[in-house]
Amino acid sequence: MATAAEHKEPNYMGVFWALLVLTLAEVGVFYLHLPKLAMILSLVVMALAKAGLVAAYFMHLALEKRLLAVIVVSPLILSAIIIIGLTPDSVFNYPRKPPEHWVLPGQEEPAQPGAEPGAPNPEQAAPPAQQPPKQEPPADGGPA
Amino acid sequence: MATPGEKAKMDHAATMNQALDPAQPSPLSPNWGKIMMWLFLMSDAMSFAGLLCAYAAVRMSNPLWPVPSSILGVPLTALNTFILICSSVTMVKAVSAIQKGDQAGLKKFLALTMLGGTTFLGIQAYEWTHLITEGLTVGKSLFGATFFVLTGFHGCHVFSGVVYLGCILSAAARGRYSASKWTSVEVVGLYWHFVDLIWILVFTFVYLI
Repeated sequence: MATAAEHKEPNYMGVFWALLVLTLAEVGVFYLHLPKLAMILSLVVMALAKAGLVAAYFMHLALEKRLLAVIVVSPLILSAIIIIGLTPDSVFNYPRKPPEHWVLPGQEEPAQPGAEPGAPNPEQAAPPAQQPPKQEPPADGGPA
Repeated sequence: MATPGEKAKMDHAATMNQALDPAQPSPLSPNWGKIMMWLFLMSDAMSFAGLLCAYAAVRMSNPLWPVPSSILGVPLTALNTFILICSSVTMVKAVSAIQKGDQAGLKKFLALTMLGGTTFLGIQAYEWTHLITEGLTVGKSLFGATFFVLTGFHGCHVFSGVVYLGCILSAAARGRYSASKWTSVEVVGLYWHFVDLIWILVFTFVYLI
């Protein structure tokens, strides 16, 4: 059964030219050296527009029954959940300080008697000889 | 001389066969082959979404991340993007050729689509060789790991797509498709456009931003 929707052919060359123009615009924005936020926002918007054009017209999503589009688009909610869940890690570039009682690799108590001759001080656990400097963010007033 | 029970059984068998025949309509959409491909593509989209999200998290939480264009070549990859978009156009031309019953056009445009995919892979292989000889590898940096995993996963899809198109082309050469029977061509088109769509996102997020 050939429905009318199947034979209503979209303007493929028009979609092609739109994709081409958007690609050139993306590369143009890239070479313009805009401020970072403006560049990222415009690139993401253009990429999503291109993806939408391909899905809607090349993949005929706009011309199929509405139910198919609902089935296809609904799993993208899961993608949104992934993105939102990872946002704290990806956006807030906070200095990470482990809790006080955690023992990190390389910070174990020296078990070998010959390696560390100095008596372990109960107040200061950090050994002065091989302290890892990267794990202490310098100026962080917050208690977190 | 079929009894009513037998007749009902035959009717049931007929509807079952109809439901399993990809050329026949299903209540949801013109055919189930298309729905199955869409479901596969959405699960595939989840894989790419996971990879892209991991890339974003690793990159944004790492203050020492390099500017991608200082390592990767944007003009060559922009050309590659253009080639993949063109191959999507030849793919829709192949589908619309067979919808009009044009066998020669179908074969020509399927071959052109395969050529586009192969060219894409060739340029990507050249790029990878160049980057690896410059010292960018999966093991040496997180930048290299995310770059090769993302573009490699996509490249595997392009390769599979070329093989898939080859299967459809050989079936077309045997005259399997006609103006009333072209669902498989449309389904391979869905896969191919999806690969194009993913590349649009990868190009933007990995190369440009």
